[in-house]
Amino acid sequence: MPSNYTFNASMSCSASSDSGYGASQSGSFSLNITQVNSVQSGRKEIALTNTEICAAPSGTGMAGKIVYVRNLDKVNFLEVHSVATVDTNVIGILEPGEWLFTVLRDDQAVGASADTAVIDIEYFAVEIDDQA
Amino acid sequence: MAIQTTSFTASGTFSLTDAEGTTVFSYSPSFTSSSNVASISITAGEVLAGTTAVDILIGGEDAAAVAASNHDRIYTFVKNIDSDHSIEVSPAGQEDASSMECADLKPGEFFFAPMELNSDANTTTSLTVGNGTSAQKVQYLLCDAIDN
Repeated sequence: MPSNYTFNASMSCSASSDSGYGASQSGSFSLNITQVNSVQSGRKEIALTNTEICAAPSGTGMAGKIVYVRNLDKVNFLEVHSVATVDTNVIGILEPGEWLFTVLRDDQAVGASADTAVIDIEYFAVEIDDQA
Repeated sequence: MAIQTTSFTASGTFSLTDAEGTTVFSYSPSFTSSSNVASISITAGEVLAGTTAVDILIGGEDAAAVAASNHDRIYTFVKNIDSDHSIEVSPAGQEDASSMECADLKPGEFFFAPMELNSDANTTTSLTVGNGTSAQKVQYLLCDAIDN
């Protein structure tokens, strides 16, 4: 695959109370990825059993992955976990419409499981090298 | 008895471009949560994550607020604002070489998820951030979420 990918991320979030209090945070960063073994993105169906989102990073210099998952279902929630085992090493619980984003520098796979019925997700998973 | 109602909004933009300048993918997700009429706390701040991991408690140091929060789902944003080393984000008690890491963030990087702090057999009620090399500054925003 071609080398030298550039990954850009930015986000903002805010929490507010009906009292009028609010707090917000934001961030942005850019990642230069010089070796990529795997780039996956699109939509995927998640079963009630573990469904792999990305395999454990492999290959010389591979050191982790960046992962985004969004629950596209209208009713049911979704669990996203490391090590690809249901109810183990849970990263997040996504209600309909919610999403998560993480950078993991380890050699584990990432998987997901639906709660009560098969769920569609929007996602990307990009392996990153040890310099990224 | 008074109740506290909170809501949470998150929006982001993520893109990957190859060496030729071609966009491989681009996503701009956002959501606003339903109102949580059983919310206990919005907790935001900055902490120095030391070589011994530091716990971040939703509800601050108040034990009753910490205990009453929904540890099954907490909107969690964490950003490494320091300049030299990465930090590890995990439920408390799961740090240091555990496979239960939720993020490993180099300077400038951030993590966002509706986290479950007490998954597996873990009974923790807090988040922990740490670095094994030297202390790093971390910013965070936590908000109670509606249970799944």
